[in-house]
Amino acid sequence: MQSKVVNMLVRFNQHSFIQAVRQTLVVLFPVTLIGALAQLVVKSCLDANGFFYNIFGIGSWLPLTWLKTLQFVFTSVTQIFFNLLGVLACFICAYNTARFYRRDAQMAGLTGVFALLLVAYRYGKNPQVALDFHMTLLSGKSLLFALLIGYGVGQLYRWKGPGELMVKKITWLDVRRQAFASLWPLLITTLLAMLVSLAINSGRFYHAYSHTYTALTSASQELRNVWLALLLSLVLAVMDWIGLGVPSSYNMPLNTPAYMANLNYALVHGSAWHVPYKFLGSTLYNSFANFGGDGLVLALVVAILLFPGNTSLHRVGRWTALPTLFNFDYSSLVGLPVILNPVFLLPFLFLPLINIGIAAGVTALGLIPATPYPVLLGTPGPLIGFVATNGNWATLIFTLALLLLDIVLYLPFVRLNFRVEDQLGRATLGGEDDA
Amino acid sequence: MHNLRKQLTRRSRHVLLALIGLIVILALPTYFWMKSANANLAAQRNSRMSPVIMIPGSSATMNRFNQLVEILNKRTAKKHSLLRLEVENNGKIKSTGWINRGDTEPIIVVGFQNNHDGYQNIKKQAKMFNRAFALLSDKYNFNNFKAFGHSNGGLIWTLWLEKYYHQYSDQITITRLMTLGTPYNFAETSINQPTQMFHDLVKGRKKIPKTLDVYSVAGTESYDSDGLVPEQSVEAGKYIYQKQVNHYTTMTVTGSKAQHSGLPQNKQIVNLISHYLLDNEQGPKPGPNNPNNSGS
Repeated sequence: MQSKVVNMLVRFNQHSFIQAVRQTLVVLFPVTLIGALAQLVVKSCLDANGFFYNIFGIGSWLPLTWLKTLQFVFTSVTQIFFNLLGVLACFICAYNTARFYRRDAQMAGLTGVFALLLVAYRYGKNPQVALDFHMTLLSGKSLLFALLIGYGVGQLYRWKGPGELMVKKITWLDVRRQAFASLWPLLITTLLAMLVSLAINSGRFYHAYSHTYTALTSASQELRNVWLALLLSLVLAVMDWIGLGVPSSYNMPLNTPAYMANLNYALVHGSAWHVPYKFLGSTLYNSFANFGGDGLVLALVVAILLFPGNTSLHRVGRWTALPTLFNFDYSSLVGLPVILNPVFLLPFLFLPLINIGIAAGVTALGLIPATPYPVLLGTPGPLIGFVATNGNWATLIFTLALLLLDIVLYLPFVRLNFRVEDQLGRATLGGEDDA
Repeated sequence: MHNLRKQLTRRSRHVLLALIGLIVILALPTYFWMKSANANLAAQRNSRMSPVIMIPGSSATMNRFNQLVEILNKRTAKKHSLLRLEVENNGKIKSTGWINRGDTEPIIVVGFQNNHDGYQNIKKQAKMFNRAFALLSDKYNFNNFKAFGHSNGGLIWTLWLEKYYHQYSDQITITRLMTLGTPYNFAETSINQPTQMFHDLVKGRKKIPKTLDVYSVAGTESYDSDGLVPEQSVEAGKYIYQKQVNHYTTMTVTGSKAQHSGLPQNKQIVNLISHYLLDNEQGPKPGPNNPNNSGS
């Protein structure tokens, strides 16, 4: 039975698109790791709502001009990494797909980027105005689209593109021939991309698309009904998994009326026990289903580090452990990977729901209070519940137990992943010798 | 090979231990932060203080309203303590006077070392005022306040509301604003000649809180001016506040001491302040100008 599952998963992973995606994610991992670390600095150390900023009172000893400068320095890194991640992903995906079929990878990558930029081009009021893009399409939020475009371009090269240069010594002539042979696929791509761009610019798709995730996020914040909150968090997790999540969606609960009502109650009465909205989706989620960001990635990383076996996964886990501890999990999603990895789909989607369910139950039983107090951005996952109850020890113990449960529940999937990776590792990747 | 693998897993264990250690180390400062932050929040939420913050006009100092407060305190049963701040050009803040213990409605006057006229200076003064406001909100933990601005002081308030108030609006509410002889369009007598400042203020009006009650009081000596500020320039305020705030009420005061710089000592105006700006002891005021009757 289990080997059947493993075989199925291996076959899924051997599909050329998934292979291209996984290779792309592996290549992107160092980039996203640096991005995540920079984000940790920006959001946690340099933001007025940040965790380190507050607990070390950074605002009181760091001069404002220094703070501003540091913000610029680090934000430049995160902005470029996350807002242009799609461009990088598209290049690498096209590159890998073409190489998979032994086609000229360099030109394919170039064509992929060109296609993505064309698709994202935003028509201005008149054609003479400066260059402008639908930025969401270039960002990590649209990773899936970037990967699809890259893959599509790669496939086009498989059909029409020039072959890989196999000669040891490349001459000018070879290079030039190669460039000219790419004209056809480039032309076809351009025409297609122009059409897509026309469709995007003339319809309301882009607006609807670019606002979906944010709208869902804010809707899930305001819900006072646990079940709807659960459903929405499921939808959001699915979007994260297919690569349409927002890598920078590390937000605190919004100041919605329900949240404010809870906080005000707690402040006036000095206690979190009898707030008006005990089962507020946002605070439940933030306190009990947010260990390392969406999908309890911290539990996954710990499970991997505990598990004896595949060393490359361990290496990724060790590197991403730090940002993931402070809930900046995008590098884990890319590096492990979780994105488009069917092995982790089930726990990624449902463990947060289990957590919220248990937490709501325990709250209903009156064992732990509600969690109305403000929590700083980047507070380590296991401490969030404790902080949000203004230091309720039962909540701390409950949170740690919950984390332990999540780690245990992630373990079988980690084992399965190791087996799948093992089998995949033995098969060589198409078109290249090293894995 | 086997050895290497073992070593690598050991390294993973070390990382795990380091993570746990990190959480334990961070837990302590987190605990202290949490306790003090929540205590501050609670103090603010439960604060009963609702100060009146006053900004004088150009060329005036933080002592501009001493006489006004004196008259005010003679006429009301509740005595208001008077705290005066001056923001120096280097950002330092000097204070004189104090707030009496238990005074829920103290008067705080904020003056500036650079008290010159002109849009550029007013922008600087709004920024300087924001420093003072940050200090006040930190120190006194009030969750709502009332504002009063004489002449250009009203411009500083308007600019501050548009540019800086959002930094506090989650915790602190401005309930009422009274401007006195404030030249929203400087010395222009017609809004057909809008000054840069007026243009900017109108442009930023959407940032002004919708729950605010605004009273714009003009004085007239002749039929169209208080001797310095044209009545039309005061009236121009409606293009900023009307249709944005909860209520926008204009009033004109004439008679003796209705001259621009005499206004703050005008008995009629002291009446208006105690009637409209201050919280009344006898509970909600009747009439359409009462914010409590509007459901805001």
